[in-house]
Amino acid sequence: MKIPIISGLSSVEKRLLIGGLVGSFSYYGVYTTRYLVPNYPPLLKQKLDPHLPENGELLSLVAPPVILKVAPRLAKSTDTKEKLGDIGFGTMLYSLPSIVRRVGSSAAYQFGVESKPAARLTQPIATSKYGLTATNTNARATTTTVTPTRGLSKYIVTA
Amino acid sequence: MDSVEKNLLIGAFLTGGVDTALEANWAYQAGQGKIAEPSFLYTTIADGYLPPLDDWIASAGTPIILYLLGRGLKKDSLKTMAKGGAIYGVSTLIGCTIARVAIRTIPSSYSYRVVSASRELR
Repeated sequence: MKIPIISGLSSVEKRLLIGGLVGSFSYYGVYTTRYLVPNYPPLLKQKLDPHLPENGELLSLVAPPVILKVAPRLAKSTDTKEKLGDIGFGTMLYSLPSIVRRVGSSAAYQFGVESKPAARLTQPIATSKYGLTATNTNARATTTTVTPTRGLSKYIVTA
Repeated sequence: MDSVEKNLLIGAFLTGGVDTALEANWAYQAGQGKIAEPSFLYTTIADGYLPPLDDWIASAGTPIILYLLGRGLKKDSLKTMAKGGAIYGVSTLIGCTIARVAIRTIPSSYSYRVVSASRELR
């Protein structure tokens, strides 16, 4: 079965497309694994900087073009070198703009978080007579007096 | 790098640039806790099994525009750029669709899917 769009492509264009798909499958493979595999390595989930995407995503975008750039040098046949070179360039066509896209969108997300308006007004700091302070929203400004007394009871606590 | 390769790369970066702009707009507003505006750009397609509209606009729309411009202005360089953009766009759409279908269909991913603040698979 011949697909008209695919069969209309030259052999070089087909290799470039294969390269693009290799890059895409590498990236989305890692991306899908991150959400499907419970034991996904934590190192790959970490970020070098909050503005950057996760290490796993970056690795999946950088590795394929680098590998396919080195591979032609190891091949002996000129024909194989040429084919691997085309596939490698196709991978670059996908991976390089994708790195820009992921870094751009991660940075934009982080800038959005940083510029997020405060959800609620900060409540006044609650201070007790013991010098304890709390800025938590659950804190209430109360005073507690503990008075030593005489008799059977050790303390009478009035609030 | 010859001129054809340069034009392919320029086309891929142009398409990626449009994709970046649309996604960064979404991500910035999502970071602020808002629903991205204009919302029609981020319409979900086929119940989320296919990439949202902005991905189609960037990945398919940009190469088509480049190709039509190249044909109209009779410039082969623009047509080559369209090919570069198409390689980026087709790869993105196919990869993204497979990932979305996998994440939405495989039951074990349910809990991960819910907790993930995913921007790719929104």
